Amino acid sequence: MNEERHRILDMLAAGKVSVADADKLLAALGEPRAAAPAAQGTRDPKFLRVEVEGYLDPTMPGGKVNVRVPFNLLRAGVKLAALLPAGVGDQINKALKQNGMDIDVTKVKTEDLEGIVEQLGEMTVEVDGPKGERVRVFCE
Amino acid sequence: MTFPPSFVRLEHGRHCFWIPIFLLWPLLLLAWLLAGLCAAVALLVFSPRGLPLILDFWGGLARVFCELRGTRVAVRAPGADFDLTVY
Repeated sequence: MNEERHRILDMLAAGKVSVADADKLLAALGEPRAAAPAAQGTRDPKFLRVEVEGYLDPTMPGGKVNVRVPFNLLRAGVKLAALLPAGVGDQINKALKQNGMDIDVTKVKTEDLEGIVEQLGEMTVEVDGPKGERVRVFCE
Repeated sequence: MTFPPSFVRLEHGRHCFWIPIFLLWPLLLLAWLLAGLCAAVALLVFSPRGLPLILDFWGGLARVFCELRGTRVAVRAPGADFDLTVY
């Protein structure tokens, strides 16, 4: 194991870099990619995973949320949403906006979703929240 | 073709339940067909142009139900502790 690779893996173990960043650094070294959760090079991801853990909020200490949604379900849902009449779409948009999500469901198309799925297949999103929670979104 | 979900596994606290939803297939199929038939008849009477749309929509509903297989929602927190998986 050479020094550079060792240093990158140490930073990953210490939490100084995310899995995605470590993978990019290893790739830049020309090393074999380290195995990581989700879709490292997954061409046809089957599930969208969302993990939330590590709440420091006293009302939900140490809470964990783990959601797995099949991509085919998302595809079927998008196709179904495309068939909704305009009035229904507006009502859904209004309800989403009231809950803090400014999304226009009538403009989501199947081809857009396919593009997102392709990109998500090679990406892991990690976000550290203000209450100490960590959110990970990835595909597998 | 994806088969509809057969079981739902529900963990709540220390309890774990396996719910055989495949037993509901005949009932769900009947309800789906009847509701689709009523909607199609209503559209034929009031808006014949909407008939292909309702057929697509009804097929889409069935597909969404079938693709639920594999969905999992797990929450471990003091206020809520459950793990629901659809097989």
